Amino acid sequence: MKSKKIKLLFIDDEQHNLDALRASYRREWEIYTATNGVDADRILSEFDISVILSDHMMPVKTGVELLEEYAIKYPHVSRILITAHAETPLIAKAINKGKINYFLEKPWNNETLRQAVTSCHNISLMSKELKEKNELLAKAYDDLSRFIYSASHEMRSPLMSILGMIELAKEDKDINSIFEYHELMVKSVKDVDTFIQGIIEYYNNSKTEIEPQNINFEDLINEALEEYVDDENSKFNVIMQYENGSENFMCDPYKLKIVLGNLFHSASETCKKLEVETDIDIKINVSPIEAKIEINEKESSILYSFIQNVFKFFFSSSNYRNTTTESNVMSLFLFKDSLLKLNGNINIANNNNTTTYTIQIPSSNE
Amino acid sequence: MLVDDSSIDLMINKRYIEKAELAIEIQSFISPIAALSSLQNSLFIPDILLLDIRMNEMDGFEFLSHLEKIPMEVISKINIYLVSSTLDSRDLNRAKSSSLVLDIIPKPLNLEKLLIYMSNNKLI
Repeated sequence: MKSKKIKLLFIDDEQHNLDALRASYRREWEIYTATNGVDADRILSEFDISVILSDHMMPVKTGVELLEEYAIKYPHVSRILITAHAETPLIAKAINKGKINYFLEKPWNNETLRQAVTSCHNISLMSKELKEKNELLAKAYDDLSRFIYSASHEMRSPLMSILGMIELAKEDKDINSIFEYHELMVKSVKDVDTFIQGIIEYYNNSKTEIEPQNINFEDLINEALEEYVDDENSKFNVIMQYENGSENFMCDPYKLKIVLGNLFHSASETCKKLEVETDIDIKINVSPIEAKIEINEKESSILYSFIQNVFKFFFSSSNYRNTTTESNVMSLFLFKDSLLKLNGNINIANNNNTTTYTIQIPSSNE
Repeated sequence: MLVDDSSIDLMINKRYIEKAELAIEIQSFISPIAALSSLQNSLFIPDILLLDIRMNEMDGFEFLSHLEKIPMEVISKINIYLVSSTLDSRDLNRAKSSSLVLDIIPKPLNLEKLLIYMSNNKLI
């Protein structure tokens, strides 16, 4: 753990003041000192300073001038001005321009300074927390936008197909064609239903906590194939490799199954759509620290668009509108969500017509 | 030429083109990449192209950006319509601002819509 001591930067052109403060508080705080703005700037950019304490009367730039700069450059660091010249115009300037959180008089009283620094530190913490929460919120909102944009398409598209077929069937006198339209309508209805079930699964999945267990990969893979693949065209050949100590690998079996299952599902759906029969070779290497899932594709591109979409959709900050989407967008959401919860990551490498996807999932034992 | 990654929509679009007796030859592509390569290699240069927007392999706009690289004398002969269920105003604006696209036809396609859009552009 990193030390939780308050990191304080004290700027004063008189070395004896810096020494005095250091002597009083070095046990309590992590103290950095600077005699000028250049050194102060270097320290601020290098260390995670929480409070700046600055003298006012200094040769090159005054304390207020420095704090004014830092208020813009390092807005989450709280500012205290400490001076022997507590005159009203200066105080006003310090508040209005230097945006100071506290004004202290020299010579300082140790207890007053302690209280000022502690309260400023708390302000910094809160301001930082607020910034982090805002970023999370912006990300969640961005995810929601992607979701709504895709979801509206996922639901509207099969509905419009159904409407199209109803209109066709109305005009068609051939009973066999009408039967055919009915069959296709059933398929479209099932597509909408699969999508809605995906939303429910995604919602349930996002609520559950990670529960690491020892994994029986053979059983897990069989379950994933059974639950997620309903097509005979694609054959999955899974080769397991166990390193020494692999029995110590721990992972949440449900999330792992979602990751593998959606990968299998996407591969088999693509095979079905393109009407190709193919073998998909998967190598899973288990060590005590991680499980590495490796899939090689020679020339064929069964998983390419799924993985591309995972990248485009979730790991790039580019406008979500410019991304294509997987036919079942919930697959993408579930895959990404579970993978991130397991702290896993995914890589694509290209080499002589062979594309290799590697998914690494670290063991989650404490 | 019909390009749509939904086999059902592809069938619907094909039936209506047949009903309208608009084409002497119809080629349907479920894979936009295959359709694009057919155009790039001049295997099949249609008079009319009905193109879906939201497709898994490559979306309609990306498809169009690849078409722009084909010599203009080839592409200018093709009357391109986007056919989509999208309601997103950004999709619609993008479709309208593309110089290659004649119009965007909302799904599902039917005979009436087909004839209206085609006659708007003086194709029939």
